Amino acid sequence: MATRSFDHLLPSTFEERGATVPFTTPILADSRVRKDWRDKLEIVIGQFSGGPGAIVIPWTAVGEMISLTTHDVLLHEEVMARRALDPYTVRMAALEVAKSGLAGPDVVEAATQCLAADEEAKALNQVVLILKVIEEAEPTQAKALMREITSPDGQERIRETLFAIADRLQLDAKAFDNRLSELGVATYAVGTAWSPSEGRLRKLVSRLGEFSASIADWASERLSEAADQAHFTVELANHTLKIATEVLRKFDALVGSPRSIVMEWDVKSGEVRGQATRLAWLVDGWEPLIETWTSAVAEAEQIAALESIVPRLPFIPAKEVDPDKDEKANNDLFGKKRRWVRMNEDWKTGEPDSELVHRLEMLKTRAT
Amino acid sequence: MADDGAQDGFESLLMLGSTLQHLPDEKFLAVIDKLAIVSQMAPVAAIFDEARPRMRVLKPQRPRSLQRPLCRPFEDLFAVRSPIAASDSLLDRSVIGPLWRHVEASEPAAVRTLQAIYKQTPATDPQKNFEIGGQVWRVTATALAKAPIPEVDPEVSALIRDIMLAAVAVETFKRKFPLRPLARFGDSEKALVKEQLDALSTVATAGRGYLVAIAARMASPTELLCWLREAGRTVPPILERFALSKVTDSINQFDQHIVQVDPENLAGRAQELLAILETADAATSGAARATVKGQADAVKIKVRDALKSHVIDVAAAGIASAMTGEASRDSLLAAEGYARALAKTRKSAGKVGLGTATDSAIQSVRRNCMGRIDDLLKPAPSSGDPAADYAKTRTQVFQSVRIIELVDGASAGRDVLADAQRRLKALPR
Repeated sequence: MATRSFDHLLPSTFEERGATVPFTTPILADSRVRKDWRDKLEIVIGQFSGGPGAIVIPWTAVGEMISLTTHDVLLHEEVMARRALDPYTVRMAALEVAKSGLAGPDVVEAATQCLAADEEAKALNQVVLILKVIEEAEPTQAKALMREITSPDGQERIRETLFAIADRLQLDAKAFDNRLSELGVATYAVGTAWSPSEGRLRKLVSRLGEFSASIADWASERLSEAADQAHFTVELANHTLKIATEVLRKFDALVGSPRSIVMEWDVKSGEVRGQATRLAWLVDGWEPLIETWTSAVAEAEQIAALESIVPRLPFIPAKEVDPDKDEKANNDLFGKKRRWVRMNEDWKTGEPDSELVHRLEMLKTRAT
Repeated sequence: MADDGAQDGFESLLMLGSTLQHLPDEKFLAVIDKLAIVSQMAPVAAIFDEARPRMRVLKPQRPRSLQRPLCRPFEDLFAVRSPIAASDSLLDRSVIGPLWRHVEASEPAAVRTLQAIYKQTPATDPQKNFEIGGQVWRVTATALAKAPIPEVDPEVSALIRDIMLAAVAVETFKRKFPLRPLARFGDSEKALVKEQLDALSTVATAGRGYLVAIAARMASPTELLCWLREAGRTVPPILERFALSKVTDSINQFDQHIVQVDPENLAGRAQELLAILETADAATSGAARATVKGQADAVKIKVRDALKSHVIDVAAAGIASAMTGEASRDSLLAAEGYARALAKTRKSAGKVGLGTATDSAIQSVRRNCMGRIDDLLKPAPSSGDPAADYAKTRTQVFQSVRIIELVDGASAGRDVLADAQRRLKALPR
């Protein structure tokens, strides 16, 4: 019997797949926001459907059709107000709403820490880039400065050194600093390969690798539907990792010389931004799944975790894979998912299930 | 004197069980490795019971023995040695030794062949291991058909024989529904049980073994009982006894929960226990039903008292005291715990005559929270920093909105939020 193809249901681009919105209303968990043909926001809800397809409704109709938690009322408003359509803007909207306290004090604490960590990462990344420029002119001095890169005084000294050697480097130090600053903001989420502190997205790629290895190990000695789900999750995670590693390689090759980016700003800054954005889209939606798995310790919890992970797996859009190498594998994976997606039987009951809401809030406390 | 010595040794071994839990992973695994040689001795078996949850996480390297696939179909029936477990409910691990010796003596050639194949099969080939398991179960069923296990209760021996006859079906069910305990006995699960029972109907007493093995995986085996009666199928007496002993276990566990767990968990356990009793009532008939009813009446009084004193009477005051002024994170978490406990209690309150008391406690929490919101939104003297004043007020208003949502549902929370947001807009910032 021929296998039915579901390729037509696979989104073409990341923008068409949409950015994951971390709602706490269970039926909306890991739903995605994207724009429709009229440029208006709409929501893609995977969990309504029993197959690989999804339900799409106008963003403005969400509150009328689904009983939202109070946290999600604010998140829904915030996403619309910011017109958040990419992983970065959605994350910022989510962190802002998390601080409201409507998902509990632990979520407030986690969001506050995330925002503070972001600021630190931005500052550090900028200094790391400056230091790389100095290294090209003054390798010995750069080595000494590297040791104090994480202290505020050290970061100030690094900036002063750039200004001091600017002439020798034939640079307009002020303009150079401004562009590096812009580059720093555009790349801090990924971070450089040589930074003393790994960027959030780079870390997420490493965690995706650990997640995949852990599930593969779990499934290796088991024979059950859960083990099949585990193998499937590993396949998709590895497929994503393969592409993410290639994106990181390109990103690292470009960012390896911040000086040349600044010198050829009009061309290279766009390329760097493109790779950073692509990586953000690639790993979008994986973090809550990794947290779901790592917080499951007992066998029963791990089986339940896999059952909840499979329907939320972020498939790679058709146009984002290499048509010669990965297209078939990508389409096959998408078709396989259909086997395990079960109808969410509780969504018709109206009110969000408080236990499930609590579980989603707990995941928020571990988000980065 | 010799007896005293043995007693001392026994007690030391029992103490080792609790000491073991505090050892670092490496030492814990080293001790387990040494004890594995004498794992069938009664006190050592008790230590293994205590250590098993940690062993599942640390996965100590243990010698590959055919006893592992042999036990898989009935492993869910093994008793956890606990003072609260009803004594006649489960198999004891001490049966493994005599059973294996019996199979070896009865079918030596087949065991030798299987052992050789098993040793060469890696643990990472689950399909091959499953097939070897199938052969082990067939050989064991043959041995048990020839004679029962010597020096073992004949009923236990017969139960293992029946499970061996149904072992492939049991393991296939577990592959399809691997969650244990199986929390939900829904349409998909029922369809597979029906299909497998029909297929086993030609194999002597295999159906009895199958049902007991499946029941042992379920959170509430009385659900299986209930379904069998509704479907007009025969309920083996051993299954009824087993299911009812699990009900007794749940009742005994609740006694422990009253003193050990927080209000939120207590309310959750009460809800589960009442659901179990309801199913047990529907699943039994005759004398068994009278026993369940007697137990249920006593339990309902216990649940009622526990919910009243640990949740209903204290939640409103607990929340109010935690939500004064700029509540700390811990205070807020305590208030949320009470709010969730009250919401869970609402679901079971009607069954124990606490419906009105619960509604009244919820209304009291609502009133307190609404009062707090009103107070916060009243015009107040400015600190000179309107933005900071606004942020502080908004935070505290939202804390109260959240408590209303937790205690009275998302719909109630949304109504209060909409009103609060409208009024917050009017504040200077």
